[in-house]
Amino acid sequence: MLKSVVSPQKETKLGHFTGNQFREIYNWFPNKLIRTSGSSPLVEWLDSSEQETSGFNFIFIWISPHKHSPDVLIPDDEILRLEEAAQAEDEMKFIEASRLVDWNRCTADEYIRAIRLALKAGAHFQARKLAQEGGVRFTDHAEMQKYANGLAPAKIVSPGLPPDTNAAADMQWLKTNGENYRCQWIALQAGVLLATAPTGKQLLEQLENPKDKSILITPVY
Amino acid sequence: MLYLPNGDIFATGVVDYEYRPIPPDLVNHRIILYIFINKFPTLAVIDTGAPYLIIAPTLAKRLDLDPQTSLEKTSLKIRGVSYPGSLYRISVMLTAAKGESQPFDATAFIVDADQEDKWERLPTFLGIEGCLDRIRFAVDPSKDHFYFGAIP
Repeated sequence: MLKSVVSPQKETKLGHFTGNQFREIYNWFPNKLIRTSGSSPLVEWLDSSEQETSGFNFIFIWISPHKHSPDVLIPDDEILRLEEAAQAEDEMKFIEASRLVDWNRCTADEYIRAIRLALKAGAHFQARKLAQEGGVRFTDHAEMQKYANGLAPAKIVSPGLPPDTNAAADMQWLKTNGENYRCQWIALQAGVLLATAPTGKQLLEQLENPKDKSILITPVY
Repeated sequence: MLYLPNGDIFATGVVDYEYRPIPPDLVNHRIILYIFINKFPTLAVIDTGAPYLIIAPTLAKRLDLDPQTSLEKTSLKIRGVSYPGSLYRISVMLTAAKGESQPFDATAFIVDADQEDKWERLPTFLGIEGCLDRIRFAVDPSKDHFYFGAIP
């Protein structure tokens, strides 16, 4: 919200802000001196040398280097935070970092980059959220649509189908006989036991056609 | 089958479920359903906190999906352990004993097949986000009945 007022002007008044917003401003204006006073901060694009000479009743903060050009819509430090969270596989850190990004200014490629970083961070719910947002904003971007569709809510693709009698027979077998096969792997076909084994790997090796779609292969729970 | 107070249909199908600890040596009981994934029958556990449909490596071997069609290679923490895998869009069907079975497309995290030993007897999981998020469901624990229907 406040980020939109950033400009290369000598002085930009940001208006009232809270403590949390102040931290966000701190993040948004690296490599600049920020002069603030009470709840009505002024942001000035000053040289660091002016820090010592100003005699005003203001607070000055020097912030670490940072690029801020029109070509870099997600500033480097924001991307860096997302990347750090992804590298650390830290979901919460990623969510925190993504809150500081002004997604309205991001390109489709930046959305995709952020989605991939979110997945790497383990922030799967955030990845889905970004994919949905990006999908709505960039309807003509094929790669963005791939992520939007891939991470979309489930989709009902056809009307209901009749009950499956083989499934009912398998479930009945499990209810009747399951107790005798706990912790073993079994292969069932229409309520008929085909094979058993201690592991799934061994059971697949036993079966003539393990890719037969009429066979249920499962551990007995 | 089941109806909302305004007369709209809530559930169009019902099926028996098993209610057992998963894995068998633990005490936490789970609802276990018989479902189809890409037309392969399997047992799956409802996990409302999980994202996606999470497919166990033994079933992944049978599905034998082309890695070129995956959305992304990633990893997922399950019970504190990180498992490598890939995301796919895949067809699922909740099968009914009475009423209608319900097919739908969902996002699936398919655990890499080489994780089979580490995965041991963990099941395939049905999460809400990206999987059951267009399905209404209700449980009758007195009869072990699972009611379901598509959200229109």
